[in-house]
Amino acid sequence: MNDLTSRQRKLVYVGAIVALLIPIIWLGMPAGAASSGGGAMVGRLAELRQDYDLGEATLGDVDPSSATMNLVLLGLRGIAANALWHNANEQQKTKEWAKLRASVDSIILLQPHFARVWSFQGWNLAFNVSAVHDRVADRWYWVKEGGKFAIKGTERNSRSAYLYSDGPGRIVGFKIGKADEWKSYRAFFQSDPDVARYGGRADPGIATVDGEPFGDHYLAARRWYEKGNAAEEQHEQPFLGTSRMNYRHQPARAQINSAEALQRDGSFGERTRQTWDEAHYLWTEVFGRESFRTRLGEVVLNATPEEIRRIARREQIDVKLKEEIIEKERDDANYHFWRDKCLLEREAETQAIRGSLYEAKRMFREEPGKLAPTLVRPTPDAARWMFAQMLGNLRAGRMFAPFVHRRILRTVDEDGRIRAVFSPDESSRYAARNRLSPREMSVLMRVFTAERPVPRTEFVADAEISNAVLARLEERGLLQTVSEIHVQLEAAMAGYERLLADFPLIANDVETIEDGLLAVLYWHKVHQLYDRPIPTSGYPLEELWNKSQSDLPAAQRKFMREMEVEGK
Amino acid sequence: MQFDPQPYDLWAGLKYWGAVVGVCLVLVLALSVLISLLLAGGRGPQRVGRQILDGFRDIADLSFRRVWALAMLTFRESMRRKALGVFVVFAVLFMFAGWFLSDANPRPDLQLGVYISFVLTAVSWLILPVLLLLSCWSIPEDTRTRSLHTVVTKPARRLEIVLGRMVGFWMLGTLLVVVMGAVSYVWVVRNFPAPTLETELLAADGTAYPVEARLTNRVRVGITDPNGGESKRFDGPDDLHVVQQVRDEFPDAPGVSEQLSLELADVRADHPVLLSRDPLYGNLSYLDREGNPAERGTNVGDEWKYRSYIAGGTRSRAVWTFEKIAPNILGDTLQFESSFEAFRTHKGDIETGLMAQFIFTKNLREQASRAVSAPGGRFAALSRPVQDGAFRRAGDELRTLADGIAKRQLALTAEQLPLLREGYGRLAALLEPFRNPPPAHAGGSQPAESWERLPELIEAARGVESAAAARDVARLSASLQRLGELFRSEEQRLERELVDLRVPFTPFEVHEYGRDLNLVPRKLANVLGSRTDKAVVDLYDDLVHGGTLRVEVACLDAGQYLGVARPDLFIRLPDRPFLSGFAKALFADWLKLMLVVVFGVTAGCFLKGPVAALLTFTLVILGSFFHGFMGQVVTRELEGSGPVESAIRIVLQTGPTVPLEGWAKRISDLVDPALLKWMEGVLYIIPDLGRYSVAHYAVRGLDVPWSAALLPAVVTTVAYFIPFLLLGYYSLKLRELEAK
Repeated sequence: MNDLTSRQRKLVYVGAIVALLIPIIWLGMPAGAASSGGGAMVGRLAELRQDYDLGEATLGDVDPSSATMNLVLLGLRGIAANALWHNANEQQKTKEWAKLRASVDSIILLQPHFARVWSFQGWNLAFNVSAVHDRVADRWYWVKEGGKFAIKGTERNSRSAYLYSDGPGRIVGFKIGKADEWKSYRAFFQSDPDVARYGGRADPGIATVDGEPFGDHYLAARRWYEKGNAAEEQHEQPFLGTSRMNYRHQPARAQINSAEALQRDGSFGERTRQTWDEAHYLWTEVFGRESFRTRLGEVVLNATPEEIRRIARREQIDVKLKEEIIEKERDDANYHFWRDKCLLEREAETQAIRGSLYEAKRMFREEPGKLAPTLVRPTPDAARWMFAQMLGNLRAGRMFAPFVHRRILRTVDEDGRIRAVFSPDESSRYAARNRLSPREMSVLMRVFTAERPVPRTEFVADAEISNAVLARLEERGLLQTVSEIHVQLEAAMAGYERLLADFPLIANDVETIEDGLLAVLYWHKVHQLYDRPIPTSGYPLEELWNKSQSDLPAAQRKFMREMEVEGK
Repeated sequence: MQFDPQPYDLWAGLKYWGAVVGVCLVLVLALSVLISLLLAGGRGPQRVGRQILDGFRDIADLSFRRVWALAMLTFRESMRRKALGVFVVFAVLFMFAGWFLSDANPRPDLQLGVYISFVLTAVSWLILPVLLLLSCWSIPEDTRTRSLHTVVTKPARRLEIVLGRMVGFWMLGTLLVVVMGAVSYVWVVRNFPAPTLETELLAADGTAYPVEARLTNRVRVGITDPNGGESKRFDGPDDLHVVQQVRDEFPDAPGVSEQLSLELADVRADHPVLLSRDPLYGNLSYLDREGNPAERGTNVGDEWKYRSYIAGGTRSRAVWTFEKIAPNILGDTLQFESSFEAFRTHKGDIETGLMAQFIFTKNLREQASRAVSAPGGRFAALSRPVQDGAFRRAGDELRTLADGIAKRQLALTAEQLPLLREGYGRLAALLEPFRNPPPAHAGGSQPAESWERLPELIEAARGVESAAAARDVARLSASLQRLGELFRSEEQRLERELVDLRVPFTPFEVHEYGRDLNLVPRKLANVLGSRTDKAVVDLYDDLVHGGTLRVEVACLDAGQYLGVARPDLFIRLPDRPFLSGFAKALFADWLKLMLVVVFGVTAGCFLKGPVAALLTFTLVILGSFFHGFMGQVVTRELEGSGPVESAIRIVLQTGPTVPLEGWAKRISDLVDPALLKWMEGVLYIIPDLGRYSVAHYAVRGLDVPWSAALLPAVVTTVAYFIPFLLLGYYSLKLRELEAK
């Protein structure tokens, strides 16, 4: 072998160890050590680590247990991770949820900076594991687990823009808001069902972002997307999961979703309007003003003609061509649609109309008493005649009678000429021609000149007027008795029609079409309940109804669901 | 993993062991004789015989004192080799375990299982390499350093040397398991202390009763009487009993006991209680949508075949029969614990869980009806009269059948005879328990009147059974005739005794992946069935027949399914301390380590240290993780599992569902069966170490059952110890010690 004694051999080993340690320590000194007097190579390793973003601390929070685990496993990390993935799959198959959660936590100890692992496992917990649980509270628990897991992923990988959007953004926003259980989930987001642990308040693990509590999950999601956008701006991203434009619009879309969810909840007040206003700002002034580099040059979706000319000049291409390029990108991003939708929805009148439709539907399901025909109003034919009488220069019959009726009254009220237009002479002429008694004519006049349909009780209470008079007028097709819900529905439908006329782009929106069709279906149902024929023409939303027959099956399914589930 | 604790059949196990060991012995003996014949000619077998005789002599002369001395030597040697250094690793592991486990699950009930699983795994897998290496290296190392020579020259027999080594390492293993087990137990208990309650209970009149409680496997409550100022202590096996005691003690304080019950439930909901539940499992069978017996429930397409599903809103049922039910098991209240799975085919009412219901049934008439009409054909005519309780008519039918058989007008087919035997055997077994009617329970039923002709009835049914077995037509006809007459004469008694009772219990919402605890009182109302003269029935006196309680489980939601497996429903007997389950799980781990020592020492007797270690390690890994897989390969349960076939498929890149053709098929058909047979032989030798994995009982909060879990582990250890000891002994005896 050799002539060295045991002691000599040991000394040689120690010497070799020291000799190897010196360059490692020298090279591995903290960055900046070079400036404080060291040579060119001092701290080189640390500098390189910083330059290439390889340090643990530069990627996100450092987890000591993760680092320990990786060191302990020496080179067997891959094998261990593989075994853990296999275990996790088996545990999911055999429904051992606690073990699955522990396995998943062990996996990320081994692969803390592998973004797809965080995104997949977070999604798996929130979407798959939650779905197999039967009780809503249990499902919510696993949605939260997935969300919290994904949030932890963003903490460990604060530079990964992909994780912000595919992790907490997707779970806190999309999962909670679009699941079948969205109503429960949205409520649980504000008041956790685990009362023992959270005292009826929100679970801060899911309802706060950087310590700031959020009452609405979509707004929390918006914050996550904004953090993602910030990370995307600051650090180079190897992978976003989608195109950059699709990625950058997410905060604005979360804001839009928040506003839509408020409307689904039945909130149509100032808060909702402001949420839409904010969404409009985010869509047009934040996202719309962003500059995107595409292979066909710079694109700014909300660019003015002047700005487009400037960009074209800078890129030395034809202005028309640049306009076309930008228009194409706008179409791809559905820019105009969402801009118009926000513009429309931020109007107080829009909110009022949507509110009135929601209220009509709610009343239909929850207050069957209001389905009783208690209100008296002119029949469409009578109203049309009146309309022709008073404003003969307008063509009657093109609009639905009860609303024509209301419009006349409004016009008349405004210029105060109702009595003059419909003079006592005219009144008596009308009575004579139709062979109406003075009492009947007085009832008719009361109904025709009233701003709203008149409660039937108003006449019945009057000693001079009896049900018989009303019945006769109804028989003759001059008056009709309708329910409060009927009136409300028709008012909402007319309002809806006006909205569609004002914002034609919205008429192509699937949800808007479905809402309109739903309103008409409710209106049909009301007629069926009275056992009256359903008017086939001359009603608001008639055009939408005729045009959107292909969307009818989907609307009918929704209608049935609302009737069966929510109306129970 | 399928969790299904089945009682171990010791006799079958012994037979199997005897067969395998016997075959191995015969093979070894035959081989030895053959080799000896080749080597030493005619004197060879004589030498073999002498060695066997020597073996018997060594066994007979075994001195436990010498074994003990050798064991102590081994133990001291292990200490010198710093075996206890493993405690340092153990300490480090537990110091940092919190890092890895603390935030795995915010819900303590889910966290508890992870903690228990961690400590038991850690104890087992930390000690295993220590014992494995020490036991594998000990004899080879002694041989190498020639220290074994000093031992063998002493009056110590080779058997004692092998046994001494094993016992020494067992002692070391025991020390390690006891110390680590104790530390682990304290660690778990410290992480999950017994929940306590300290509050005031308000009586209806506004008086506050200070209360403190501590929940372990028992419930201990102290309530201070605000009037007398005296503190009263209550102790019971569960909340219900303690609440009842409080109600009895404070009759003038309405509301206090109810409030206590709610408070205790709240504490339980928030804090897991360390305990070992003691389940009494039943047997599971199924009824299909029409209410007829079925092999399985519906398959809903779940990849995991553990559970079978029953359809909601139909007559489909999961039927549990609990055997050996005695009044002392029932007590005042029976705790039924269930953990069913919900499977929805449509969302339905998403805010409410699926509803399930227990129906306690005593369907003697239905069973009798199925038994007498079991052969089918003309016997089917017996079904309806028995079902209706018209035993006279059934008797007439039986006599007609008997006449038909006697006059050869009715011929029984070869398929009918076994069914007849089995059916009438069941009828006899059904009547058997009436011989010993249950003693009248205090406040329960009237004392049962004697049934004089019952033995004749049973005898007649047994007569049909034995005649059918013997295919004796004349005797069969006579027995049927006799049974028919008895049916006629005992008509009223049969109608009264063979009843169909159904007692639906309050429906409950299924708590999926959790536990539902239904407290069923001894007295039950809402009685349906053929005997409805009773408004209230006693669970034991009226519903248990021959020690068997039958519980049907129904799913009440139409279109939805309830997933059930045998262990999903059990009768929860009084809880045992957590230590009970934990210590038993450790005991099973200890047994496994003892077996590893047996393997290691034996391998060391004929192999060098590293090879012995490798062999033992391979045995442990195969036995722990791949025994089931190998079983599937050998039985061809896995498609395309032949070794040659698999190799060809890898080259051809075809999946197991694509049939092999041509030369590939011919080769695999030729070689694979032989290879698989060889693998099957190997499989008999490799121990199924999965039997020792009983930690999942403790993880589930269950006590470890003796028959289903511990007995197989004990038996396996002993079963391997005996042949391996002999193998080690002969290896050491016959080897040349000078050959290092």
